[in-house]
Amino acid sequence: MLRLARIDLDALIQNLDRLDPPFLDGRADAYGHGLALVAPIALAHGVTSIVVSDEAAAARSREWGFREVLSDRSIAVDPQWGEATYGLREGFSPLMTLVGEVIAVRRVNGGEGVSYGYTYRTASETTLALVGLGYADGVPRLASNRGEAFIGGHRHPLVGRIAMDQFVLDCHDAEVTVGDEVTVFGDTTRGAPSALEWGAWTERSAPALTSGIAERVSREAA
Amino acid sequence: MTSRIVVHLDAIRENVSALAALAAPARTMFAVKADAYGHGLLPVARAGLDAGADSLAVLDVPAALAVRDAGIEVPLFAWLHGADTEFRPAIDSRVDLGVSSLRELERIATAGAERAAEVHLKIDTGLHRNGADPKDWPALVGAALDLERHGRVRIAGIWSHLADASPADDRAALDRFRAAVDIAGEMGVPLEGERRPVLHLAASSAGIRFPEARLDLVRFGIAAYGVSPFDDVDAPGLGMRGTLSMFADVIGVDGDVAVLEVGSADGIPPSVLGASGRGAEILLAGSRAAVLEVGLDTLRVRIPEGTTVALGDEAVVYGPHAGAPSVEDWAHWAATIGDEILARSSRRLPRHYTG
Repeated sequence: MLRLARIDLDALIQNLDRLDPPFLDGRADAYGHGLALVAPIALAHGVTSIVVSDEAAAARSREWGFREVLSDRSIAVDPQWGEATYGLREGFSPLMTLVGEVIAVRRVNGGEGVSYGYTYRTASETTLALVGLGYADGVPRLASNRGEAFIGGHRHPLVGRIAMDQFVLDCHDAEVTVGDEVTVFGDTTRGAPSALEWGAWTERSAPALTSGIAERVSREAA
Repeated sequence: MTSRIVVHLDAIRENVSALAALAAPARTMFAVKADAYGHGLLPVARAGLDAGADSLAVLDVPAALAVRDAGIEVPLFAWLHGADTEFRPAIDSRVDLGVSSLRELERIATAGAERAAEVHLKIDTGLHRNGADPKDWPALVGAALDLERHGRVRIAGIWSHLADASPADDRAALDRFRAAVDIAGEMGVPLEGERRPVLHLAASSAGIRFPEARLDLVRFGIAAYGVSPFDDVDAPGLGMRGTLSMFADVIGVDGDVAVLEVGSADGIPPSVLGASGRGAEILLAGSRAAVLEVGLDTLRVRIPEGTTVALGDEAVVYGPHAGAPSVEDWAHWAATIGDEILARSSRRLPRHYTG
């Protein structure tokens, strides 16, 4: 089952070039991007200070060669550096693209209920795509009937309640096939929703969204 | 650091035992998907099996193989399959596979396994996720019967999943399920005797309130984890105990504000302070303290009037303790369900299993 967060390290380098941050905000496993992917790039870029969440991450940071390592959660950290580093602010390039796959496609009539509680009913005959990601993967349930995801060049509304391991897109008459890759957020240059949009739909900051992407979603440099 | 998660295995056993007794003579399949709803797969699976469950619902093949690798030999059921799912090790490890389409059935039958795959054919009864459309059902059953004659599969079950939309909707779904079973019977699937497939439809909600839907077995998940599947009664009202607690240390005191050592990256939902949220509280120094801010790594809470709080004091974020909020409270405050609070509970905090 494809449950993947692609991490664009070129985008990280671009953001670091523009920002020249005084430290790497590596808290919460680099806002969910994977500290092991991000930290060496930042270090090579000349960032020698790092803020992390706990002593285990601090020990790894020292091994990588960071000279100044802070892991004291009682000291408030200005989030604007981290938001910019990970492209979670306007004007910076997003690093994370969250993707899953279509695991079923069905054609249904108008008036059919979708997912738990039938909170959505199809307006007319349409194609529904079932995607193998859910709130256990960190796709917050609040995006039910609010969010959008992207398949093959088009955004589709997320309809019905998000379940633990799956959600449904209403794809109308678009061509969708089992096994198609689905982008939940990221890859905004192609038209997919951004983490900022997903943050708004789910009533949280973009860093809270990305750092909430679950452990069973693998991280891969792209 | 004493911030931690505590899993109460005794509460899991009590809940599963009560649910299994309620469902009997239907059997109990214990749902342990999503790392046992965030509790930790193996210890929780063993607790449920000790308490009267006789099979496990694991979601997907990798989770099933992890359970087998740990030496657990009970029937396992996996039903969510991706394009890259390898069925052969699952079949050879005697994992029962949910099948929703001809395409999945073909892949399973041609996986090259050494034995016949045990398949549970799924009919869509209204949820419109996976499951065969009623118009495609005879073709799926026919293909499965054909493969059964060739020793490639065995039709071990027929199943579906309810939408829990209303009693009338669930009744309509049961009728559709029965119609699909009847069609299978007419096509040659034995509905009596030893080789008859197991029929299953109900999860926690219908397992508790819709006796007719219990059929041969009930797949109990959320109720076993001490969260009610209903809006009109909470878990204690159903006789269920909370199974997971989160504790957080006070790491800062600033006037009447205390800083706790857990945050959104530990699964605390920031939406409690969003437009749909209803605020949130934790238990600190014997009183409820309002949550002011949910950070990545910290919670800022208002120190209750008349109490003294010091560094190192311990707060209960949620859990089955006198005066503490429950997982259900947090779900209500965050405009979600307890399943999400549990499934997202911190993997980076130390975890202790008790009971």
